[in-house]
Amino acid sequence: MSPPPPPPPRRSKPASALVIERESMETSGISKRASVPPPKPVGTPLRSSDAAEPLPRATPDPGDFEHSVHLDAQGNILAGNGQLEELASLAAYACRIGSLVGRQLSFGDVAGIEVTLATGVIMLHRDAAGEIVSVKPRPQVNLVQLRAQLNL
Amino acid sequence: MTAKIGHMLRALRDIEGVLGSFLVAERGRLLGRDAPEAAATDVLETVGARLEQLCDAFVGADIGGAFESTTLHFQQHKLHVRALGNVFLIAVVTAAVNLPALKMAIHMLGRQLLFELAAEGVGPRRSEPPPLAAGDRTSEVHAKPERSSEVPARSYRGRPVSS
Repeated sequence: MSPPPPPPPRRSKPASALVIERESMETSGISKRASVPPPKPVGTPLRSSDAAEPLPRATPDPGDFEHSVHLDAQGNILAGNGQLEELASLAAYACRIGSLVGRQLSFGDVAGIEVTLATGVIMLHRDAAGEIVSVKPRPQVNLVQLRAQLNL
Repeated sequence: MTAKIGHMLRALRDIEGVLGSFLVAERGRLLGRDAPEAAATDVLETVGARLEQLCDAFVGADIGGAFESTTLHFQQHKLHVRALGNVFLIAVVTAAVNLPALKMAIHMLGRQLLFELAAEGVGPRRSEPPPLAAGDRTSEVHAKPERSSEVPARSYRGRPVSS
């Protein structure tokens, strides 16, 4: 029996986010100029084969998201699907406001935001370098699993 | 009213990890607080106004919708924001807080706060506070404007009815 995987670092981009964005990029035709590192196939807590007890489906499909986007620190869209420009604007603005709120309260920059709307949930994760991954999952998506993958 | 609401907000401290909470109206106007004295009123009002901006952004976006709640995650803290009519209840918590328990506590407190706000003429303009059921889609103010229908809706005690 393999030892349990180490928890992901709090402020770094979760490997699952990279998996999501790489798969989105492959299906969306968005610019592939971003140097997105490949997901680690071994040792991440996101692969069901690595977990002590296999999860139903550890890596979500790009089709699980109505909209998704990956932004760099300057707001350039690196990957995404759906209404990615709309989500990009929203995510970048939300992270900026969140960081202003955090600094005002001496909490530091925002690391993630989850918003519950009447139309569903929007989640976003911001890493220490300022890159943002934001998704709007479809209703059937397991939110608990997604939160864990986005470190929320 | 501020002191009474502050007293009501203290109930949230029953949840381990809750550091404080406050209630803000439009543009961050502080309606009540249960926060350490170190947190100045103007800071809470600025934070409240910015969180209102944040919520409005999600409401106004094409991919958005009526706002219910949001949680902002920081390295060691979280801010949980819940819309109650046209005011916001903001809880400042540690990262380790039990969020489901906090949400239930806010749900319960929200009903009491809505009664209090309605009595004071603040919050949703309704004859009685709406039940915050699981399907509650909250606010009139923080909801996307609905497209007008040709047939005006009939309602009884604020609930739509069909003929």
